[in-house]
Amino acid sequence: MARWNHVFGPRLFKNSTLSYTNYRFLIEARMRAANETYRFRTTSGITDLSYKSDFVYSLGRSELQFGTELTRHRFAPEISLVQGEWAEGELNRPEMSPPTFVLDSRLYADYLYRPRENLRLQGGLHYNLLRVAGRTYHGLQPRLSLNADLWPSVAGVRASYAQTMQFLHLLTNPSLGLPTDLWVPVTDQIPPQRAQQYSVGVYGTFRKTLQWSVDVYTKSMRHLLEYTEGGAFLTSPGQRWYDRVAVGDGASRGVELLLQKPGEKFSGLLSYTLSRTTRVFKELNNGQPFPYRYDRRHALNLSAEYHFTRRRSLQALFTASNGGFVTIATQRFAGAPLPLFFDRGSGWRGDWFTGKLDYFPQRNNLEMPFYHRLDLSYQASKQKRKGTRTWTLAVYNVYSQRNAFYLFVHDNRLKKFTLFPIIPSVSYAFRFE
Amino acid sequence: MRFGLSKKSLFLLLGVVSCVSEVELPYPVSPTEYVLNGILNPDSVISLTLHQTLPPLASDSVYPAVADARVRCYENGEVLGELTYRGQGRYELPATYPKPGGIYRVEAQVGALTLSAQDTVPPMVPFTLEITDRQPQNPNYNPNLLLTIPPDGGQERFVWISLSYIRYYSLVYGGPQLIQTSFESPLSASPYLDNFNAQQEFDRNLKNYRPLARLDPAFGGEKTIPFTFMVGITWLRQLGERLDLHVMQVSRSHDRYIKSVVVAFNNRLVDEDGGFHNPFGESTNTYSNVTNGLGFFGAMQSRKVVLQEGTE
Repeated sequence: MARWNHVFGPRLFKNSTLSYTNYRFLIEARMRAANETYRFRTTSGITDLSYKSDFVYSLGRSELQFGTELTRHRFAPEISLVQGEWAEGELNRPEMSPPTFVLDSRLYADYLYRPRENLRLQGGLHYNLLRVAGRTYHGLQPRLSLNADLWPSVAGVRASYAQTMQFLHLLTNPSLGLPTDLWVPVTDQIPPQRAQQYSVGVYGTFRKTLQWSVDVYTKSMRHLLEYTEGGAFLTSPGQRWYDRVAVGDGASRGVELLLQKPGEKFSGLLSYTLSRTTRVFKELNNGQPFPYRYDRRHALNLSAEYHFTRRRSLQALFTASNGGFVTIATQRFAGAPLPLFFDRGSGWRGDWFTGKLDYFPQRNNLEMPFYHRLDLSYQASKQKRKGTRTWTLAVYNVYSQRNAFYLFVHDNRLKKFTLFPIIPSVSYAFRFE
Repeated sequence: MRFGLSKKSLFLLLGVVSCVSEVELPYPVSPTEYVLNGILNPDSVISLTLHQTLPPLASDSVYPAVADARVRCYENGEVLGELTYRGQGRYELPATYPKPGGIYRVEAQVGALTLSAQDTVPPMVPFTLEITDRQPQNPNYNPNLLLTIPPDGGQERFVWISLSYIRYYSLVYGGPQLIQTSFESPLSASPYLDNFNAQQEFDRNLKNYRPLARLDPAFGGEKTIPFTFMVGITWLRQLGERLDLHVMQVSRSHDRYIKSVVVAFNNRLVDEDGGFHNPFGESTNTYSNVTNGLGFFGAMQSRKVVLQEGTE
């Protein structure tokens, strides 16, 4: 990354950045089931070449920020599942999805106005232009916010509205099986996500030390992606990730409470969110709304930090939330046999494939077990001749709570698989001065 | 530097870190549903089955039969008759065969609930079949089968092909002969087949369409589909051994049902023995055209061609 800052005068400042990032993500798994071996591979390669220029123009009680950004994204996501011991070559077949190139250009202007000390108004307009595979997407994204200290240093109100556009989609699988989340880009057939969010809240300070806020929000989303039913099925020749997805809408509503105590010796934060996030897709769940995979109705976070001295401190983080939703069969039945003929005078034997069919009345109909854990870390710094050295002793999941990584059925029992019980760690850092 | 942690505690911690665990969870409970299944074929009398569902983890393999339903069948909107209970959940309209082009509707009254479904019997697709000489590039030097289907004339047509065989085998050399019957997956590189259930065959330029292959209805013109199979045709020499090709034309809803069953079967998380099948599978419902219940009631026509028949 290269950065260039320039001051044009007492009011105008510019910051230009040229950057290159290359991100590679690969998970490959081999699972031996009773009668078959499955090889699964998900890859995500994102390469960005980006230039942006940001200007800040100060006008006394107001400030104008504007600028531009131009990015060339290269995406190479793929998810493959093949069957058989010999299928190594199948995962690396050259006809898997070619990379997707997205040219993303953005113009923006944000205006911040403080007519009085206790009043802050901010408005902005962002414009995005995306070009992918000969197709152009563009959109204006206005945003407004208001902060008013009605009772200075005691209480105030705030409100905001924003429209956003996003060219990255998250694909999640709803089944009980291993989580296979994948970030994928827009294509000439899959448009960017669009969202509108409204929020309103109150905030304040209690006894000059305790900061609190309560915010309510509602968000509507369009052009979201989900796998079609059977969409993460065994890789068929010539089938690519975008052949297995459906496009639909979503909504999220919630209330967030925050309590914060800053301090030199002791600081802490408590946040609680009550929310509901749903999806509705024409091709899924008979067109009826269903809970989002990561709809976490309750989410609680509690963090605290205590400084014994200037160089020794103890941090604690407790997090608890609902586990999200997966899809589970509620009944099983025998279906009509397939037209497979075993001519021994016994008629059809197609019932081998239909003797145990699962019935899923609704997508994401089972809530995963409640998730909670406590992390602790102790940090000790010491000034050395050439800088500062810091030892950190940490314990992840102190009481070794068996949180569910995924659910599965085995030996006719429903079970949860835990991946990370208690994990202690030690780290050493040295900062040269 | 002193950590204040004994070696004993450290080893205990390391031991705990290496654990992963499986914890049993209670399975959610839901009410049972009624299931109506039936396939109309002009070579069989009109019949269907009525059962109830079971919980997914139930150890029972027999679904509770519904013995006290009142089942009626309609042909082209007119009452055809009331089906007679034959036991094990099966209801039949004796000596009544569905006709091509006929629209058949069934209504099953179970207590206060009425299940119903409807389908139309399609015509049989005309075809010709040519069997080539044995080909060295095919598995077991099997011949190619060239299936030619004429143009559909703008009419929608859903065609599936499957193979079945009967074969004798012995568990030990010289031991008693046992009979094996099974389906055989078509192997092909034809672009006219739907790849939804295709798996590339190792070291061959062929795809395996397990358990049966679907002709892509997007191709409406005349088409010749070359395909072969795995079981050696020369193995089937004994009297009673045979290899058959089945060509079927199904209704639109039946086509949707078959496709959904194949997808669901390959996506199931658990196999027949309760063990892991596909840990990366997706939850997939099979298609149902039954109102107020589950299952499928559909129609088809089929024709069998004997490819090999043992005579020794």
